[in-house]
Amino acid sequence: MSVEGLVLNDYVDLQKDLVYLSRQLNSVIKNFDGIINQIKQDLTIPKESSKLSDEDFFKEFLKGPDIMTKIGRLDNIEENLTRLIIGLPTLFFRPYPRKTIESHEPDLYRRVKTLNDELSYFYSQFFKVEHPEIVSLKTQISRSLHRILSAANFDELLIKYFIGHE
Amino acid sequence: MAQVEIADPLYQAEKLTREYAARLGPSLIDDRILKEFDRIRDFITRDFADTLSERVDKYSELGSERVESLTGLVGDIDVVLTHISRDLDRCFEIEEGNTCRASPEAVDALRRVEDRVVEATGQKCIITTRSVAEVLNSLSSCIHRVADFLAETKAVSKRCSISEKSNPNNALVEACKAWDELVDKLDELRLYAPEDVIPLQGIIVDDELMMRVGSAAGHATHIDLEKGTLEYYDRDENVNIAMQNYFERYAGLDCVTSANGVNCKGVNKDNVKKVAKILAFATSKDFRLDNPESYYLGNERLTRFLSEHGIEVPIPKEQIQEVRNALKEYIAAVEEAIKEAPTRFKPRLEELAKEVDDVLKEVNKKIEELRPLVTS
Repeated sequence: MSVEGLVLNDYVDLQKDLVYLSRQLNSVIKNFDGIINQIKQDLTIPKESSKLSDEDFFKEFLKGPDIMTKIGRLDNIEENLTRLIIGLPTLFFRPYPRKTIESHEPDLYRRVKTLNDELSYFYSQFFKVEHPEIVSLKTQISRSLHRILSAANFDELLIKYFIGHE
Repeated sequence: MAQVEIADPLYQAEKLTREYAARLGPSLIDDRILKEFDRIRDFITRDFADTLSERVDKYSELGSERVESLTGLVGDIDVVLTHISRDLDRCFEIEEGNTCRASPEAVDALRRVEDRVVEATGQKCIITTRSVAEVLNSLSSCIHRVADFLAETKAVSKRCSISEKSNPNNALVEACKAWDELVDKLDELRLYAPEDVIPLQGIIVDDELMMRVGSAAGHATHIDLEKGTLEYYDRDENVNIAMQNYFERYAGLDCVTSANGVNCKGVNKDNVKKVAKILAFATSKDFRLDNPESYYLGNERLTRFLSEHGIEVPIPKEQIQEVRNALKEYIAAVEEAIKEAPTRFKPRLEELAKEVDDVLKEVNKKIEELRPLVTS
């Protein structure tokens, strides 16, 4: 393959990724306000719960299906945060700009490289508390809740009721 | 009852061999007697074998180890019949009837049959073995012991049955019924996976209660009131630990947990009802341990039942603090992340999107320039 052929292949690859990135960014921009509002709305319920006393907090969880809704709210928040950053990391892990482009068109090479670096920097700056940390906090909440339920040992409460005390 | 016995292939085999042995006595062996023996042998290797296999499977599924010895019974009976057939042919040649002596091979094979019967039922069955008629009479007795042991069962409650031919221990019958009732209650409280409820059953044979407590293969229990033992079979370590705890604390048993389940001592007529009721909590225990959110908190019927019956759920304060702290951190992290989103993040994102589009235009232009050079 000629040098021009190799360069063309790299441009075509780059073109595909830029088209994808452009669509993702424009989709996030278009839905941006809605996503942020939804996150704020979903935060209100866990925020209210956090003001309760320990006892009321747990009693509220015991009210049945409410708990699933509350956990569901955290899932919504996580999903919306993911929507905000979707597509952004795609470019970071690609080997762009390629050396073929650098030698063929140094100016364009520098623009792509700068864009790549800016997106990377911007992504890390936006989430002062990074998204993976938020995910791990939610996992921690689920695990703690799981431990509470195991410690409460509902089966044993029923055994005591149906079979008798120790 | 007699008609039921005749319709049961196990009792039919017993009757056929017993009556044949009686006829051999006064008769000389002739063609008719030899042909009749072939018919009996056919019946034993087909109808009797099929029914025996079904009943043995049924008891095996319930976790009965006693029936394991019966799986090779038909083969051993067939060996007896093979030697008896040869003995009859020999006696036919020399025109002998009730004096037709049994070969040592036939007697040895009969002893192997008896060994299996003893292992399963605890009862011997050989009477005498001098003549072919006596061997067949003993064989009939062995088949009778097995037929009694595996006799059809009679339901005493929704999920509990007794072996009609056994002498079911009343304490076990009552224990099984109590378990059955509690299963219904826990099922109403939505504590079981639906597929786990269908196979639940208990069968009482003499001093033993064999129970199927879940849908997984081998999820069974065997209570032997004579020995005072409980064998609970399960491969889930967490379930075994929980069940051992319940058996010890609420029924006073002395238990050891292994990879295959929990073995306990100390079962007696006074605590066996408690033991059986505890077993109602073994069903779907693995599901509840893995999904406490949906089986307990998300379970409106259960939370309503607890509230209506004044059963307070103990609140583990430390763990609640742990959840609350994590929740607070979570809220703070999300709020921090979205605080400057509309003023800083969005405008910058728009700039970057524009930059991406500009670079894309440039790339498109370069592609247009290069394509003619490459294609030419």
